[in-house]
Amino acid sequence: MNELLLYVEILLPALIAGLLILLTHIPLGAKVLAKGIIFFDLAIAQLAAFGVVLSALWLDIAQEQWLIQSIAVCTALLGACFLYYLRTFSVKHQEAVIGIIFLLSSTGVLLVLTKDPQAHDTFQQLMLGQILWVGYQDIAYLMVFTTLIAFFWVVLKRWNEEMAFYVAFALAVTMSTQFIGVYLVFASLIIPALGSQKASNKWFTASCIGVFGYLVGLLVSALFDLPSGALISWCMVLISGVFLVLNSSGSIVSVRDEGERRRSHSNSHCIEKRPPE
Amino acid sequence: MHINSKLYRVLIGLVIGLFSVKSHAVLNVFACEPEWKALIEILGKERVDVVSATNAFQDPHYIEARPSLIVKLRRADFLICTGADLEIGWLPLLLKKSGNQKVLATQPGHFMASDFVKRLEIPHRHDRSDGDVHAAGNPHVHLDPQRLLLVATELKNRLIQVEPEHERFYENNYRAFKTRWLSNMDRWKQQAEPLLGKEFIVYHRNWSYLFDWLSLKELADLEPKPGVPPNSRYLTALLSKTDSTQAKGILVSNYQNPKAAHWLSERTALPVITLPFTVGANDDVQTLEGLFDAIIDQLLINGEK
Repeated sequence: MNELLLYVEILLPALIAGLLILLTHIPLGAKVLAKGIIFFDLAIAQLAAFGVVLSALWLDIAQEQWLIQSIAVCTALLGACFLYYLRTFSVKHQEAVIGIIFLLSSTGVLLVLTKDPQAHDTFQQLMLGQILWVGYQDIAYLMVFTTLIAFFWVVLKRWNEEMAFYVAFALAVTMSTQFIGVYLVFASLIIPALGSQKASNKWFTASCIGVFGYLVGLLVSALFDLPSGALISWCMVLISGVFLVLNSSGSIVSVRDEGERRRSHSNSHCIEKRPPE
Repeated sequence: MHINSKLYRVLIGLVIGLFSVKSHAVLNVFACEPEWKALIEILGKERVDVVSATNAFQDPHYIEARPSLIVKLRRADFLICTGADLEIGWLPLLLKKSGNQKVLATQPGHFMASDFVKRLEIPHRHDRSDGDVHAAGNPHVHLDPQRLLLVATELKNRLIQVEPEHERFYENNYRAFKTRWLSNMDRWKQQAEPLLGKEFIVYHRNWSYLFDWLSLKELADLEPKPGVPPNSRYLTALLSKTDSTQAKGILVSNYQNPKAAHWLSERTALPVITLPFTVGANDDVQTLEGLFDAIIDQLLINGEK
């Protein structure tokens, strides 16, 4: 019994963190998918990391965590504002620009690191956060941040809904990547949104995919002693596959639906082919 | 039905695994690297039950978090790692997560091997432009048998401190190890005589302690900053440097990608020498003794020419 409790104790903070992150990422992900700018989050996360590595040239990383975090948020916000400005462009051009931002910020990191390889550790931490290391203190931090994002969203939405989305997104991704890493952030955004496409109750289905993805992923990773983050992504894809099959099996497939399904199918194929963490 | 029965079997296996009670008579040890697992098993024999967090094919700088790691550390009575910031990316987090009082930094159950030897490459000034130098110096101390013996002595003392009732047992094991190790060291030194003062190109500063012990020379470092590809000026300088000297080969360890080494090898006709970095790197290297045997063999094959 002791052993079982031990596993519960270890997995619980990770699960809570995952659920808190899903709270913001499911609605944001649905919007990203609707806009068709799927790699937006990768570019923003990379940009945040680039900001940190740049600032590490002048600042002491170990001592000034708060400053570093603020810089990460600022660079992510700058990128988001730039993409907000481009939002009226066609999706394929936006995607190209997003790709270039990703390219510049990741190669920028390399260029800066030649001068200061010590920033490498911080950079890795920013990009490859690991969900199992989450503690209760981090959960408190996540709660504060999630409330902040919700607050920004509600306040800014009245004034400009599009702007609110970009700001909330930049904040959410900068926060979540540090705890769960880029891959899991991408999974939490896109997979629930994609898996609930066919469902009659989208929010419910998306939440199920997210929650069960984390729950099953964490359990299986404990069972077979495999890295948790990578396994959660895989479980989420499998569970959303089940939901897609369940939801489409009962319905009459029209020609338009067929086309849509093919498109969404090729998308999910894309995700499945991403290398695990 | 078929799937169900399979699932059933997995669940049964899990339940048995979770509830099986381990014997409490032994000292549960959590080792960060295989070399320390090997060393503590020599001193503790059947009295220790050791798990290693990494294997010989993993870079100990960074490991993926798995639930079992936390469970293993929580269960541990003793922690043995390299220290000198080698595990800084994950060990502090793991210690925090495990909440195990017995292996916290202030406790006798917390043993950092590199704390007990003189480390090389400690920077004189704490300047970031130095490149990837750890402020604590080069952590890979296990590749010098002399330093390894020092670590073994300290480890024996520490084990006795943790389990005073077994002093005789640890003392005897240590003495047997020391006698064997000293004669091994004589033999290795003799075997390596032809290598004295020979020059090698390295791939990261993994071999500094080995070089220090055998009086080998490090001519150049192929990728001075890990994770950052060397620039063209650096490579050009490296090429002209190798042309004018008598380097014997390019050393890479078994867990590193040998790409850069092969690049240089093609241009200079120098052999790439793949050395086992720690215990478990291949079938022949299953003990600390075997590790040094294999390293010296490999160096001799190419270095005597």
